[in-house]
Amino acid sequence: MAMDIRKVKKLIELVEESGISELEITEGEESVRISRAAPIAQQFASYGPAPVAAPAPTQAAAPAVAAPVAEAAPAAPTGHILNSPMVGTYYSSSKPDAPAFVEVGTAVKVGQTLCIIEAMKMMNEITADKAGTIKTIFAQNGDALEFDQPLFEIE
Amino acid sequence: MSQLTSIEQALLALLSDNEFHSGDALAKHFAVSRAAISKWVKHINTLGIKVFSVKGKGYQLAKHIRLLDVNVIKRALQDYIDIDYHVVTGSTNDNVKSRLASANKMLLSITEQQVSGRGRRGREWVSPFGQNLYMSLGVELNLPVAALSGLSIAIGLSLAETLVELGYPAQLKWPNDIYLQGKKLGGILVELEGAFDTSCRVIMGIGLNVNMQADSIDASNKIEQEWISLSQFSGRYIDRSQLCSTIISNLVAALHVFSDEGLNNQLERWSELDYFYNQPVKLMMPNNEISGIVKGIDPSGALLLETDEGKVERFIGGEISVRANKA
Repeated sequence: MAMDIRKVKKLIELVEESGISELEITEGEESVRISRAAPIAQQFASYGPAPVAAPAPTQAAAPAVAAPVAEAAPAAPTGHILNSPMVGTYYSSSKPDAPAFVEVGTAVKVGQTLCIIEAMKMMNEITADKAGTIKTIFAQNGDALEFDQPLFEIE
Repeated sequence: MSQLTSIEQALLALLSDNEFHSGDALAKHFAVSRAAISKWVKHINTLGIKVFSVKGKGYQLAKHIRLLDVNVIKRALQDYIDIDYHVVTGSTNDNVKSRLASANKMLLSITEQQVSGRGRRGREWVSPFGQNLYMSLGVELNLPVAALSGLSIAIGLSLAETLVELGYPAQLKWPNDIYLQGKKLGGILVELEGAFDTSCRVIMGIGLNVNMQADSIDASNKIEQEWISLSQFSGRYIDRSQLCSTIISNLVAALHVFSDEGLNNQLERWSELDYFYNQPVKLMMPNNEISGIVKGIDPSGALLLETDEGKVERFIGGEISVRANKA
């Protein structure tokens, strides 16, 4: 690959520092797009119809030119990642009109409730397994979660 | 609205014989003034518990209210379950939660009235005094959370089957609402703790309408859907202590079966008791809704819906709602 990994890493740092949400760079036949947006909640087979297939490329006239676009994830997390222990629906608060259990920046203790995951009317209180500060919240209220999907980054 | 003090609860227990007790006799019994008794009764009334005060006769608890006989429940269950009884409490699920981690037995919390009884996603569970069952059983199961899929089903099925055995043709709405004659009879709220451990703590809250009548509920406590009680169905007053013991001992047996074999042998029984089996419904989810025909459950307890495209798909979330075209 012409665009070496150190270059990509530099770009990620650049995006991080700048605060811009997305950066796309094309260099010859290679292109890379770095996006800071939180991962889009996925639709899971167990929850409903499969996601609509991505539209077919429209650039049919340019065969074998476009190299795959590297969808770089947000800057590699440095903190502790807490993954979902089960498939279910993500809730950020105890009930719809209640404040969220935690926000980005909240200091948490081990055992503190971070969210609720519901499956078949079983309410599973997810608690912090590490003390620290919530750096990233990956899921949004109402999201369908898959087993082992990242929920929080704690640092 | 503060909770009852223990002495106010003792006063209620005394009044639960439904006889008149004079203010003098009560004052003597509790070694307080008659004014103090009157103050306690006023406080009890603010909780929606009707204690009548009749000049020349004294105080009497409203009819149809007989408190639970905790000794009956203890005799039936205390070999393997610790019983935690309150005349009035916040929420029985919360009581179990706060004690379960340090318990060395299963734990049953039961009450005559919940001040902050709740259902799914913090919805209120209307809990009039002394008429229904409000109880929570806490157990530690040697299964990781990921293996608990289907537990909700097993609990609801056990409760519905117990009622069927007792002569009430109860049915289920996935995953575990209890219906009788198409109206809501009871609900179950399961809470789990210990998601990252090898075993986890399960708190099973059960609310069951037993002796509740239409006039049992204050206007301020309206129930948002059609409901029914066992007593409305049978036309008889029902002994809640005996009923509680039967439900809980059957539930514990069902939990053993679930731990050993999951839902493997329950799928047909589920379909037989499924109120919506083969019916068109809508499944309401936080961000969308899906229409389909109910086709039972799979071995993990997931709802099977035949969608309008003719495919059978499985769902683990959402709430069933009747489609407008259901007969």
